[in-house]
Amino acid sequence: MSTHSKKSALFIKDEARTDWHDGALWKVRQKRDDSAAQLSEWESLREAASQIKDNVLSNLDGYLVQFETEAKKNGVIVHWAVDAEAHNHIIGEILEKHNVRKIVKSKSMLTEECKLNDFLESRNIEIIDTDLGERIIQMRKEAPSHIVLPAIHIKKEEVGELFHKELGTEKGNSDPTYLTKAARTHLRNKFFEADAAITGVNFGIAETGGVVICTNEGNADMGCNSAPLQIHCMGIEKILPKAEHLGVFTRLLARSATGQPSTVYTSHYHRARQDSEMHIVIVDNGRSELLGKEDFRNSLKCIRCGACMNTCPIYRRSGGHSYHATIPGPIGAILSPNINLTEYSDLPFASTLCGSCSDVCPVKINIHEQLYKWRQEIYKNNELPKSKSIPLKFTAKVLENPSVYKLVGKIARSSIRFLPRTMIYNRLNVWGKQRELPEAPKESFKEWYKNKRNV
Amino acid sequence: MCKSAILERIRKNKPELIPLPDLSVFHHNISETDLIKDFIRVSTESKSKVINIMNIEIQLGTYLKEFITKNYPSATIFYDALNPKENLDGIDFNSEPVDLFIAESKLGVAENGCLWFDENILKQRISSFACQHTLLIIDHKNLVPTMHQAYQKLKIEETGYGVFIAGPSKTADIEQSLVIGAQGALSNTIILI
Amino acid sequence: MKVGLFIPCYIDQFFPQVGIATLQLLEKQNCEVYFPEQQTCCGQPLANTGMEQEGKKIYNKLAQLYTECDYVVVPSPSCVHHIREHYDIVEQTGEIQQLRKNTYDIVEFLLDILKVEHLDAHFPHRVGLHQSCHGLRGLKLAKPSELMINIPSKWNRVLEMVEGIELAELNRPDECCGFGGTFAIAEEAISVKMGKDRLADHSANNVEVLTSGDMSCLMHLQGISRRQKSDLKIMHIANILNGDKL
Repeated sequence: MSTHSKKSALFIKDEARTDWHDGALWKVRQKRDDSAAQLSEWESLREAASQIKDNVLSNLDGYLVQFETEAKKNGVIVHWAVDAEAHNHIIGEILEKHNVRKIVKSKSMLTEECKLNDFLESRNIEIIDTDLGERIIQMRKEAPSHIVLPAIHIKKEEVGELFHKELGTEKGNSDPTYLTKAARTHLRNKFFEADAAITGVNFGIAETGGVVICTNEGNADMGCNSAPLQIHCMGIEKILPKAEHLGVFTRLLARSATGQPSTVYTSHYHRARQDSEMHIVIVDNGRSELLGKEDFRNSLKCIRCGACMNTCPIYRRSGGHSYHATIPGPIGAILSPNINLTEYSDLPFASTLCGSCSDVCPVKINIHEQLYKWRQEIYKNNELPKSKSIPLKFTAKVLENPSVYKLVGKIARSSIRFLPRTMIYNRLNVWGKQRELPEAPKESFKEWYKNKRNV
Repeated sequence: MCKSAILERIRKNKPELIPLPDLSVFHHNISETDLIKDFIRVSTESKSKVINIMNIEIQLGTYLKEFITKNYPSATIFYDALNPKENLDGIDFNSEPVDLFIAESKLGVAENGCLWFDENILKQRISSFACQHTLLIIDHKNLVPTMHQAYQKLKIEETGYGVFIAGPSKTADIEQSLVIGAQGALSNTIILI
Repeated sequence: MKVGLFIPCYIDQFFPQVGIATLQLLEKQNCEVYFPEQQTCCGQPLANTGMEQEGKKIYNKLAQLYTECDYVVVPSPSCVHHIREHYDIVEQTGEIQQLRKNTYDIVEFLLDILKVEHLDAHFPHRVGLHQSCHGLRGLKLAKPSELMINIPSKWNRVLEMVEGIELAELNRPDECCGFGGTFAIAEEAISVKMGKDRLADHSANNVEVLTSGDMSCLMHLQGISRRQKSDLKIMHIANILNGDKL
């Protein structure tokens, strides 16, 4: 059993909880549908977004250089990080220069990817994740299970217990409003005490050198607009050419993610406040390499909306942690093998290739096709477990030879018809664990055709 | 050097140039009545309270004074961005809770209830976030149908900071239960003039 | 019009009645049906597990069998999808190109090529349609719920030609059944859970007969349903369209 299948089998053991998790995410998918249906030009927007991102990838160097030039004109300090280690090192140096001891951070999957929190904590810097969902999982010392709804796998009673322990809220009180207000009070102090604010970037605008951040809570702005130092971490692929392209993306992002027509706050940062500093760290970490892979470069178009996770019937029933990767779900299954093919060779198989993910993707990433292609890469690179390749090599030989195929088929059918049940339904019969094998007819179609049609 | 290494690898790996699409297809116009109707509906659905005083003959200042007294009776500290004489820079959000943020947006978007505020209006960037409640004014003549038109009208880099606000702050991070009032404003009221 | 019949491996061995119904449907429409006995499989099980390179021989052998046919008809959208989309890895000989261009699912063939408007079939039962992923999103036989475009449902159209049929509305009209080929074994727990949830949806909507264009989905759902000792009947759409009794 692969890592993903082992972890999902464990997840599913609690069937009621699986149904709850599945139902919660399905509701988000439905909200997305309702929201998308209200725009008659929805599919045209997806097509435009896809083409804009295609253009970006084909001129990525040009746009990044333009972005840096414009940002520098605004007095922004721009850094380039070739990998996660460089990213952490650069940020570490900035913080040291400013004697930073306390940081507030708003949601950034890139900083998760680079394991920034661990790095800074090892240097005794306090880093508080201010997105409520992220704060919850930070207190639980867990990774987010969804890129937009990090705590979707946690029940309110569990949050109540956690906050009682960490924030001193009433024991047994799991009212979401009460708990959110407690978090508001707790985080408020953190914002004003922070020496620096770190954020991710939803969109970097090459034309103006600015960064755009979308939140519902306002936590990114609370941090950036009070701390004397703001650092924005941006993957190279987050660039858009011009401000006008934000028209397309701001219409697609929130609708795809949660079904809202817009996030509550869409913030545009171009220059630091007076007496403060603004930094942008541009990060590669494998992205420029992925750019060179024709079959897989489309995955760089991702705007991290999470719609693919909400629609995926496997993700909903196995949870983000089953993917054991920074980014879970369908998009995670095509991004992760590029980072480490061996470690993540199970992920492209954690799918039935139903194709729903590709249909909901606002930038039309052909996710299900890439999953299929990664499977071919995995076999080519000898990462397919023998338990799969050996029986299938045998199957290939059988299927190439019609007489052998007929014989094997006959044996299979006879076995099902004549062998005692205990012999057929044993531990080796994985299909038979929870399913009956098909009933075996006396004649195959070919045999019927030969007999009835005298061929 | 990181930068040159990254750019070199990008140049080596990027595909053939693909042109940008034409976005003019998205610029459709709708009637003023529909603009207003959509803006009110979406803003209400996003949990803003919308007061339409378009057809009321009253001076804005007078109306607001009455409105605030009636609806925010216990408010004592205000961040009044409408009043040019106010010393907004002097307000310290860290030391005392500011009850109400008042400002007029010069650009609103009907499809999603977004209202644009930049540094020129806000003065302190944190103001609309750190106040307990927000009271936002928008003239119906300043409404546009979609974000396409909004970004056409705006020059986002004109000031160092600009934000679209589309309601009170919110979160559904605890078991997908919607809670109004996360880190930003606890409530949002829009006066449509 | 010479129509080649392709009966996928597992239908040949375990569900011959689906092959029989497909043959009869074509002959009722006056097609001259040719069934090459040497056929085995389209190679999908190999390709979906990453071993498409090992399937090339199978692809070429299949194409060689139907060179004399104007069309090839299969009671399986997933096989058709595989041939159309994934036979691009072998040399595009005349035979391969012909096969990719002329292979149709039986429902597609009835509507798009034969332009059938009436069927001689009576099926007075409440039917739940399982919209198989390859048929739905692969062959565009109907509108996926997540896509905001108008695609009329070919499945609905043929089912509506059957007298007495009542089509049930489901809570999740197009969620995957969980078969997914080797996924059914490699990720058994999720596969079965997905299948159980589909069956529960049909049950909740009082479906008497569950049907689909893809026998692989039905094989998986039937396996679960029989283990649950459920009353739910499961039948391939070809059998319903052919007027076969429950």
